[in-house]
Amino acid sequence: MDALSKSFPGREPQIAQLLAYFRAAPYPPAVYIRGGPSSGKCAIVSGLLGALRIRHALVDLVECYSSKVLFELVLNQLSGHRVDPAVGAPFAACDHLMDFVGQLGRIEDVDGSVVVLRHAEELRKLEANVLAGFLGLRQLTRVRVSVVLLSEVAFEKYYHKLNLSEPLKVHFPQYSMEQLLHILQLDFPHAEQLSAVQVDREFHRSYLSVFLPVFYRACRDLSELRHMSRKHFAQYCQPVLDQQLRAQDSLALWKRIAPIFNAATSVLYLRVSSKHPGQGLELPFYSKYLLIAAYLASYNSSTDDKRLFMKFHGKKRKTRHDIERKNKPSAHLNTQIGPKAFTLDRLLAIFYSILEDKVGFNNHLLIQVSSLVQLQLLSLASDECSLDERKYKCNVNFETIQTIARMVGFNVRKFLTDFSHM
Amino acid sequence: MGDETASVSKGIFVFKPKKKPQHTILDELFSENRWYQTYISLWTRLNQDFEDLTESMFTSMTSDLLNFVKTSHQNDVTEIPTAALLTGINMPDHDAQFASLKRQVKEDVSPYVAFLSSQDCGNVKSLMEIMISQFIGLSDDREEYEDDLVKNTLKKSSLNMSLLESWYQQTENELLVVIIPDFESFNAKVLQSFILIISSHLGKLPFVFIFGIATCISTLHTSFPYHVTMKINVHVFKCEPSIVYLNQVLEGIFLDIFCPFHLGGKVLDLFTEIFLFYDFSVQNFVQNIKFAMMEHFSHGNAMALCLMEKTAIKNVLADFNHEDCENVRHLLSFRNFVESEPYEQRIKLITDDEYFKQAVYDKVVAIQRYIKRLHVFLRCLHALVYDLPGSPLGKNLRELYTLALTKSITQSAEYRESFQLLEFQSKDALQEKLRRIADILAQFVNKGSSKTKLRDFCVEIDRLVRILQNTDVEESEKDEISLEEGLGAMVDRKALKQALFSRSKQKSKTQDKYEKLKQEILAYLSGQFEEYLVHPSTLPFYEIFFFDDISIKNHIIGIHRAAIHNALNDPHRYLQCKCCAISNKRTVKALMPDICIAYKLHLEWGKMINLYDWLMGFLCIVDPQEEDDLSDKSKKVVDPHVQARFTQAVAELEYLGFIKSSKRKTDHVIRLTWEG
Amino acid sequence: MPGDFEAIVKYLKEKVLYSDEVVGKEKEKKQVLNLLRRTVVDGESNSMLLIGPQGAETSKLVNSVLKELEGLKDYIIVELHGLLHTDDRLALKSITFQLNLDNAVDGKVFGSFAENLAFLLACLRTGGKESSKSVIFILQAFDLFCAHHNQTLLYNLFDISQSAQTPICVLGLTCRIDVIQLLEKRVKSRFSHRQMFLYAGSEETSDLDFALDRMAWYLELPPKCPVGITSKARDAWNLNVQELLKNKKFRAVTERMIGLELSEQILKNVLLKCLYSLTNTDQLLTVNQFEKELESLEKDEMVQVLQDLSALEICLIVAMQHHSDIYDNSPMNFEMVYTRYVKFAHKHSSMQNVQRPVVMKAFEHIEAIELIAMVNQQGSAKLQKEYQFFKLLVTPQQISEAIGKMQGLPTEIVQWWNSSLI
Repeated sequence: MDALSKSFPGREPQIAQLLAYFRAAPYPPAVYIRGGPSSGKCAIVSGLLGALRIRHALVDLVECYSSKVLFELVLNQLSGHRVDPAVGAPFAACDHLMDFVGQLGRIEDVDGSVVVLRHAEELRKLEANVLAGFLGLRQLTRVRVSVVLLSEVAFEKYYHKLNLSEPLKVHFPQYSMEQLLHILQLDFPHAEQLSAVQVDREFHRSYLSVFLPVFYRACRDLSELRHMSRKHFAQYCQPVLDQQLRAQDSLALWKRIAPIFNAATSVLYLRVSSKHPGQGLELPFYSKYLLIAAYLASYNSSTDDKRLFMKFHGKKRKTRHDIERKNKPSAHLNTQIGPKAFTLDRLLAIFYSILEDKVGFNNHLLIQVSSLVQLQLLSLASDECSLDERKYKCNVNFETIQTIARMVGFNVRKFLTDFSHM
Repeated sequence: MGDETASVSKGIFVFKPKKKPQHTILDELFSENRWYQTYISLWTRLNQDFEDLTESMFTSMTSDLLNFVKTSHQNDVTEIPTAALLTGINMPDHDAQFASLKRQVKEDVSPYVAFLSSQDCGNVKSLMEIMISQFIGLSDDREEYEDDLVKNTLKKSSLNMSLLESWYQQTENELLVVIIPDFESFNAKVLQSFILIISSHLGKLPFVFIFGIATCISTLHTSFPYHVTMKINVHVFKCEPSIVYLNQVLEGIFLDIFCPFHLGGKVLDLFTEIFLFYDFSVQNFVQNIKFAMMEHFSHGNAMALCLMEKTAIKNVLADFNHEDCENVRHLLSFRNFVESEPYEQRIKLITDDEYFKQAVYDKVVAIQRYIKRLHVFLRCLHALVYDLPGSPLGKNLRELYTLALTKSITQSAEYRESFQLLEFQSKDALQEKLRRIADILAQFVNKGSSKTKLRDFCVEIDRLVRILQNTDVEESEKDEISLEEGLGAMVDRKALKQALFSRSKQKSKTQDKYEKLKQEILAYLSGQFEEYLVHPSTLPFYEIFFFDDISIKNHIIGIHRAAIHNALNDPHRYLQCKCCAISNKRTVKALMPDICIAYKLHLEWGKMINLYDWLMGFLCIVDPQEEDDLSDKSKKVVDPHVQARFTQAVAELEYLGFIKSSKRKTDHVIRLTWEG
Repeated sequence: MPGDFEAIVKYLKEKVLYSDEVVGKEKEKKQVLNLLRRTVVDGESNSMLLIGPQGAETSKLVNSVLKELEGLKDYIIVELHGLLHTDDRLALKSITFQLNLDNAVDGKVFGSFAENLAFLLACLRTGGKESSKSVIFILQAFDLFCAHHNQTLLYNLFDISQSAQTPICVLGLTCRIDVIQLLEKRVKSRFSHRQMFLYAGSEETSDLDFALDRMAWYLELPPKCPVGITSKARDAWNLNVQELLKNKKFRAVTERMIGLELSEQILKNVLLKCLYSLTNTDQLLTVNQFEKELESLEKDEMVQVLQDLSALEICLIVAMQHHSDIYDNSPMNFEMVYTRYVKFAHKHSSMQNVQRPVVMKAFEHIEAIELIAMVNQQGSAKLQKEYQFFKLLVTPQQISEAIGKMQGLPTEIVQWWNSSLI
């Protein structure tokens, strides 16, 4: 237990609580553990059960696209059955909860086992009786199997049609900044490997104390923070390596690293490394115009088309509608509400009006519309099967369209009703 | 067959299909024709070269990628190593690329490769089953029939991760590679669940992903929520942009001295336009070239002469019969040729086949020579002008070709502009370019060959290079000497001023020398270009080698509405039957197909068409009867056959989308299309 | 003595979790027993519904009645559970198995459910046509059987109980008071309308006394010492329990718990948790433990969830709440919230450099832990993430509480939140 507490600092109360539950039989029939991402739920539970030598099955519900998979996985693990690759048979074929409960009884010495289910919120997507069944396993069978559910979602979201037995709840709160500092300091051996220069714990600690406040604002997820801290440690050490600064000049080091941190907060969670800088979308000429036309069709209402795209539309009288529109709050701007559907005819009409040198209407253009859909730049808003009155929506956001329009020398803002009064 | 299937009791016998060589309809129809044989041999060679080039290009591009995959699991990983290959939006080209990638991965990295396409993987269950069955080796694309009956007893429903894990323990720690060529077409939720599942098994199963992304890397981030992007560690790799690919294909295969078939300027322009404006697809470009080739060769046996070897031409000509000679005589350039000959020869050409064949042979050989020189000189010209500011003659060889084949390039404004710009070239640049030209020539010209003109040119270029080099050396020596001299005798300001002045004059002298040399070189080159880069239409029988029929545009860029309209309006165009030939578009003939009659009639109405009136019109045309009693018209009995034909025609028009039944008015239909 | 202590705790846990005894309810037990006796001995078919709150009191009652029934004439018990036998087909399979008639049914094809059931029951004829074994059907979670297609199983069972075929007794156990309404007309007419309501508590005693009585029943060790417990330890323990129950503070705490909700299930959970928290050092139950339990009952889970968020996510929540206030709870989308957030961020330097993709990730996290719910408008599945509409599921009070409890939150965010509460 001490080993467990040492490797998970800050979790002593939770470990103590779980230890109290599973120290001696009888175990609580259902335990629900809720905690933020990477707060140590699964690691602690499996560590604890392993240390106490309690037979347990650990199943991640994301893998279970049907309840059959779930049941068979649990039974395989509880019975220690190894799947023979040539035959592929599980311990027992289970299609329903009824089979599962029946088969549970057939496993030897299954009393006192624990079933641990990760991402338990996915249980709600399976049949309704699965969740109720696992929580109330005590009433369905004589066998004494406990269930531990791990999830990030509060238990009150689980109440649905069927009555559920209340499990015992354990809460894993997110680490506070001090706790995170302490935990990240444990990462020192790894960091030592990364940096080419000799560092000591104090140096690492000062690094962490400038690192954390910047990143803690946007993210409290331990594994992400750990990844980020490792990634930037080498850069932090760089000036020391180059002998430009000494290890004690923390202020100067901070000045060096601050812009890097600022840039890094914008790519949190995105683990991409590329030698090439991000490049935009390369489209053939007419596809660019089709996309721009699609964007205009999505974000303008069709009543404004005549005025925007036709040359001789006559003068427009100012109506109260226009004045209201000018004072529209930003929340009702079309660019905020989202793209609207438009028909193929409207798309082509706008396309032809914005294109300067006209091209005949041919099949290649239609193919380009389809391939834009395939590339997920447009999406079908109508039923896939009906060829009549096909409707599309534009999926591209404003910045991308601006870039593309600039490439062909087209002023998009001029044609958007949201901005046209400006 | 008999022995194998004879049995006392009833039984079922398995016969594996033997792979037969693929025979197409074209092969059966035309295989006797000589032009077809020429075409087929040329096309197979070109296609093979194209596939080889694609293969090698793609292989060299992906060496980085393969390295990454190989080394991805060397250290312990907490996230799935993922290679994102930015393939570009030319989707028709991707199939070949990914097939080659799959093969490469199988050979170099690991035998366990799963290839998942979005069509088969609509939900997580089928995706897992397909992937696992590919890893374990249950897929159907095995060529030999394995007697492994045991494997086939695995049910699809038992294909899950636990099976994979226990199977993996029997393998020797090879990587498990998953290739997804069409990332955007996948359902995002399915991919998310898939990634989450795989990442929880990452400890025991070393997976590596390769995603083919067509648009840009931000698609990856917008499709996945944060808890999924945390689980994959993405490295981005880029494919060559397809324009580079196209240039390589064209320069390496089609615009080459070994390819006798050439596209004319207009056609090349058309294809380039389709490429740049529509789809960026090299596969489509090559298919367009194939179509052009088919059009070209189907002109007749004259095109059998489209070859680059002299002896082959001789053989073909020897086999020509009178019809084939007539076929050649029908070429337009023949007329000009005839008119340029003196009178006696003219008659001979037209009547005497043997004489004609000899003349043809001479001219064709001349064209072959011209083509070779054309290629070489264009490449030299390209080496000269590719980096000029403003690129008047374009940056790629392809653009140069298009220009050369459209008009006489040396007369064009761009050419003049380029040469003007060349006058401002520095010595080093010019030297470099001349050296390049020398290298190009070395590739193509065999110094000991009998092609004297090219060899002379080659020699001349070498000489010029040497002269330039020498002036270089001389100048630098002279400069040094003069420097030393000048500085040594410095006494006072005036003397310094004079010394500098004299030195600059000297410099200008050397400059002048260089200028003169440059002018000489440029003049020489220009002269050579003018001589050899003439437009092919000046040569008789050039149509055998150059195809410039722009009317194929209608076939390549399809306009289906116009096509259907033409078909329905004028069936003679497609059916070529004498009974439907019409002189005026608006006439309707009774013998036309019913749907055409109905279509032509409906064109005369406005938005709403009364079915009864339409039927009457139809009746008038199809079954005109003498009207004895006008008042009886309303009581006319309609022949049920005719009515049936009419109803069917109307139904077909509705199916084609020209009319729609109206809900507001009974017995009326709404017309949906208008001409124009 | 540590051995004693362990044994006591173990015994009590077993009692709370798995005991089968029913306290009181003698009248009801007798009624049920009579009914069953009539079926088994006299061959009279009957049906009855037992309705009681969750907590397995009803099934415990039936089990104890069944125990008393043992030794009488031959009869068979068939137990079905609504959670397991979700389908008539599964129910039939289970019935066949429990009647040990698998061999008889093997290979036969039945036209309808009724035929199958009749066949099964006919098989139970022992010897002469007159006498056949009586069967007692116990249907747990009876209300779930009402959801089966056409209520075929129920119809047939009740039909048999009304007609003069095999003597069966159908006992339905449920916690829904309105279960009669769930029955179809034809099923209802065949039902004998015999219902028994098993309420917790009675009208004479107050809630508090009832709760205390229940606790006493669970926690006191019986006069006959269970194995491994010395009478000295037992007496000490019982004394402690009695003092606890008389303690004024304790009674106050219990009253407050009753005010929240103190059903049998929750009471058992509370007792369990207190028992689990006993360690070797504090071996006796104290009021503090119960106070802690009360606290956890009163705690609002959503506030805990909110406390675990990062500063960026709290900003988004505040922005969402402001939007709901201004626009009167109409649905909003990510774009609108993002615009509002950007306006805030521009004024305050500390949040300025977070870019759109990271804000998007924070938003996704909020969605994943279900603080917001997507509003399903037409075609919203095909809409991009940024434009899907949602509503906020936490109340301003919860947000206030969470913000108050969070440590290290930048003050500008707190001020921003407070600025709207005017």
